[in-house]
Amino acid sequence: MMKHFQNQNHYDMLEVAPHATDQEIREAFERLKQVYTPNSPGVHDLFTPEELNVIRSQVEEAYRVLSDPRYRLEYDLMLQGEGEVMAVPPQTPYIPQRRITAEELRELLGGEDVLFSGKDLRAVREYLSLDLEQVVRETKIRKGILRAIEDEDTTILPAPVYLKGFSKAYAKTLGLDPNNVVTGYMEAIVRKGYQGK
Amino acid sequence: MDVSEMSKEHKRRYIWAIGGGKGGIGKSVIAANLSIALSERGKEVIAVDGDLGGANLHNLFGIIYPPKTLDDFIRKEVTDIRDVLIDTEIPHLKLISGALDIVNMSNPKYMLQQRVIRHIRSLEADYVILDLGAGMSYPVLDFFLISEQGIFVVTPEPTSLENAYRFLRGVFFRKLRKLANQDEVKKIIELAMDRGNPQGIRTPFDLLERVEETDSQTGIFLKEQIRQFRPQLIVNQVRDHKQGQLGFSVQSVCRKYFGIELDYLGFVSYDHNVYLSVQKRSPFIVTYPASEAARCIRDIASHLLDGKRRD
Repeated sequence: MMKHFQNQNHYDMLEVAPHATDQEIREAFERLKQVYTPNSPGVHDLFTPEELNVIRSQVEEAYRVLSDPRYRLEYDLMLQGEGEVMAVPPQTPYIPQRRITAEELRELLGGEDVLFSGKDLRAVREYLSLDLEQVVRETKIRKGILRAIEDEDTTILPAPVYLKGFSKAYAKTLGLDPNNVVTGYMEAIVRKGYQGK
Repeated sequence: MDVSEMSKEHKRRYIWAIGGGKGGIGKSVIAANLSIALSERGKEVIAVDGDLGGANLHNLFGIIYPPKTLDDFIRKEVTDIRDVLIDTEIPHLKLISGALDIVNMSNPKYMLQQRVIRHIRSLEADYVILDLGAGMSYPVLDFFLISEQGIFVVTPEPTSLENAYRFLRGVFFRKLRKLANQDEVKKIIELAMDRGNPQGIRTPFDLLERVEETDSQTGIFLKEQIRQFRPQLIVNQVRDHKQGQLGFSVQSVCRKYFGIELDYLGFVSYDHNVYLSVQKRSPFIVTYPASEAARCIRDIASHLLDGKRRD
């Protein structure tokens, strides 16, 4: 038996999968908005007007959060923290076949004083012949976010507290020292105008 | 095929009851044509007229005077329900025609209906399609519950939808009532079936909460049973795209109110050929095989056979 609607998370409320596209989320919202009204045939028999109000406002709140990439990301993290939903269903974990040595890293990124910008991270990933899907499987971070990290797209990147968690997870998957990467990456994107919240 | 294989084979038999609460929404027409669509795919099918108060499924197959009917079985003129099976003009499809002559059959005695149910369950076929009468009396609900995943039909009209939800609510509580063993739990469920009950048990969630307070084991058991309860839906007489979407709305309401997942099998378009075929006492899938309605029914049969769902 499913959870009562009062205890449903935003995805259950909109009845979409955790990996639903923006369009699926919008369509679900448009449909549900029309179903849970007092004029909807048969529905008023099952739900009181107060319950319909609650459902409608929860549907609207769910849409408000899930339709905004940044809010959605933060929400996903919160659910992950609660062990509720994983952004991607768990699969066989990827184990890096090989790690990049300090020497290779110097060679690849040119120099000692590497900042670990988005471009650097992508270079390491490509050096290891990993595609984004493999990183998604390993880190459970959505592909759009990984791409935003590499592109340093400050319009999509989440608040610093989450971003640090992501870059840490990404660094581990690439076999890099997480602390160096987090410090360096945060510095790199602040230079690009990232302010966080 | 050895014995163990045979019993395996036997288990894969499906009984699909077709109900919906309201009369005149096309249950029998869908039952007849769906039976044919399944038999066209080479399956052995038996269509059973379970409308005890107003049997007419035989008419839709062009049979005016069924030589044998459920009457004969109920009167115990034959002892085995297989003795009232009649052939149709369709290969692989047999029919059990409904009771025609016995007055008051719409409300059979419990023991009698249980005998009919036992015999329907013992029928040998790949698929048994059981056409139900209107209303939501206990006999109708009990017939619907023969099948694990019964099919219910709605049309895009407020009255049909209202009846459908009431019907589903009746089925839901009836199912729980039959599953419960403890007297105390039974009492709670019976209370809940009365919508105006003073205890304020309104929704399935209220009910489950109350049951869990009384007997947590039974609560867990019932929750698991509800999880497995997966009725199926056909929207009939669909006139436009928006009406076809109605199935998804019903699906949502089932999630939010009952906490159950419903399979939306698909819709059947409104089609004048259906009317014409009923006038001719011939199933539209035979008379107008290229009609829009026939295409819809074949799609639904495919969904049923392949276990595919519309999502």
